[in-house]
Amino acid sequence: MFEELKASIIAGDQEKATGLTTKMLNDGIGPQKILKEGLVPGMDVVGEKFRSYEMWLPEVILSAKAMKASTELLKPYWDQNGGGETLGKIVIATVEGDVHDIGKNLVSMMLESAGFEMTDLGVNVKIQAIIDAANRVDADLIGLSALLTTTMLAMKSAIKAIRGSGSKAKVMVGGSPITQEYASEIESDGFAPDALRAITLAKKLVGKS
Amino acid sequence: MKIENFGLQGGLNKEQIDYMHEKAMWLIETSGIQVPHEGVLKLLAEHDGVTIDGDMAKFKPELVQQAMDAAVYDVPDYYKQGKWFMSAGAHQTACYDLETGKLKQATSDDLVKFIKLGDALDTVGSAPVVPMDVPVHLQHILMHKTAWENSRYRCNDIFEHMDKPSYECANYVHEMAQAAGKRFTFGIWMISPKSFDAHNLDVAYRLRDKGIPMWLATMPQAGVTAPISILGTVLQSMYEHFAGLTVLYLMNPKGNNYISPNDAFEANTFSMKYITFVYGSVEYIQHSLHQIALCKYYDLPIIVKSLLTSSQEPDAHAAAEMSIHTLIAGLAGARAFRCGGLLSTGEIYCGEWVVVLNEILQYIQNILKEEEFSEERLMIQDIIDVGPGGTYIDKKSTYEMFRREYWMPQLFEHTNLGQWLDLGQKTIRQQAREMAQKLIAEHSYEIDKDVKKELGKIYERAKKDSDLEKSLKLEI
Repeated sequence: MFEELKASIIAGDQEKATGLTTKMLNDGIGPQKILKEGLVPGMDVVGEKFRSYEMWLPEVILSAKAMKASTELLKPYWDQNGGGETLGKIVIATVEGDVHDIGKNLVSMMLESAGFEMTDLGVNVKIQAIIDAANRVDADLIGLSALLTTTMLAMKSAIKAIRGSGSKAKVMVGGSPITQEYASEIESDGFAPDALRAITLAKKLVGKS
Repeated sequence: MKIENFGLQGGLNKEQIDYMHEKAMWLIETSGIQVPHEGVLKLLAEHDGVTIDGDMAKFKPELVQQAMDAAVYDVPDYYKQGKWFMSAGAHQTACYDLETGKLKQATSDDLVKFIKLGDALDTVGSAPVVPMDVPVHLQHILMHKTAWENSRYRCNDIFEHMDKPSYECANYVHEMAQAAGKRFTFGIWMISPKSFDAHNLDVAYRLRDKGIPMWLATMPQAGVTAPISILGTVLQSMYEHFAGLTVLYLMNPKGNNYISPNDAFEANTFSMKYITFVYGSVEYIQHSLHQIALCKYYDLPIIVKSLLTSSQEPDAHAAAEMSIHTLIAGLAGARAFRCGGLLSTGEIYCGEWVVVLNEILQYIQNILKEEEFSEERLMIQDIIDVGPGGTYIDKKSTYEMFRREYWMPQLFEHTNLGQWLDLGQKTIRQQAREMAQKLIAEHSYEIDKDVKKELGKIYERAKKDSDLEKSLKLEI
């Protein structure tokens, strides 16, 4: 049944994935086992296929949705059965002055599917709100996104402010105008050019690669 | 008598565009657009033909038509004369260094060089690169200043689409424009689907009483912020353009409000494989043909984004996409082409590529040039006069005509192997770089000295303006 669940995640078949997850839970299989032996291996394959450009965005999104819907079903069982640990907590936002969210939403969805606990603050977010959220959830990572050349420059101040606030969270940056050169210049902890590479980077930054 | 112009047949016909127009109007009336600004909503609510529902505004077709009819497209003389031209550059932050050929962040020095290069090649449009070595609140002011100081056409007609990221910044650029006698406009970029950037809208709202021309643009992405089909995305683009223009028309009655020809009916293609914008693709070229048909239908100036590519380098990939795109657009009637010098879907600016594109444009222009049909051009008498085994080389007609009969390329030389070896085995990129450097060194245009002094004073004031700095600084 785990192979079937894994296949349903790869196929992006939400109905089948949630049906199998429910059945497994009803059969007394622990949520951690379902997650680790069915859902995560499925999403790992999706990640690999996306990285090698075999699977494309709409297919990956369907898989991510199937993963999310199935994971939601596990949550009520986590307290009583243990588990539910995540790879880490991430606060993500598009910086102030910028209202573009396609890339940020995609990264957020992919990171959640990969097993991170996400706090998505949306678009046009002030630095202080990002710092407050990171402190509130005890974030391991902060993801900053920008599409505009004017707002990408806000990342520099944002990183300075985050460091100055004493937050332990590492900062990863991304968005169309961002380059590795710029990410290094503003002293971010990492840059990813796309959503899949953001997962690899996030895992590396939290020491779980 | 001339031979018939070469052209392209097919594409959207009048009945099909009539239908799309009707559907766009219906969508505006029934679905409306989001206006995330209380002041603008209040202004809109004062007009007949407007329905406000929360932050959604819906407009009657008659009102939308009024806005479209009121728009004036004041095209420059070179466009009216049907000249072929290139718009080169649009706010790139990275560029290839003209000396080393290496990729780097653009600086104010690059800005000057690329503007001079563009002017030497008679290009138009916006400032080519963002000077990343100056503070963010001064960047757009410096881009305008440098463009006006060093070029004749740049940032000075309907083919510019420069951002003014804050009200304070817009005021400085406006003051400079007045001092230099240059064009000033403010642009609104809609956020697809069906909304605006509240900050961008707020700047327009605050500028509304100054009689400033305002333009509207939108860039729906097929499959992401618009339907997956190109036609569906074009329809959404029409819907957003017309609705957005109506907002401007009602909000800015003292100024001319128009659809920016630079992105008129833009419908962007998107790669689901690499998650990027895509330009120069098969589908994007098809979209350009729809765009040309729509511009003709609505009598808007035609400028096609045919000089943009996904390629990261000035290479065969870039040249193939741009040449095919430009040729097809030219056959469909376009004479203005934009995004010259841009590589990697606009992430990189490349000066030498502007030189190559200038050559490609001339190449295509010469293919499609008009040709006389006459007895003289058939040269019947010359054919009679030359005996069997004879030659035309020493003919008077050959001597008189050989230089003007054939287009002589400057870059795409017709050398043989021995000649090419003798000339140093230079690649096109090397030759283009040398040519670019020469053009920059020899560029002589400069704005009037007194005006330059005045622009300098305004810029110095901007440097010390804490309100301007705050307007683009994050609150911490």
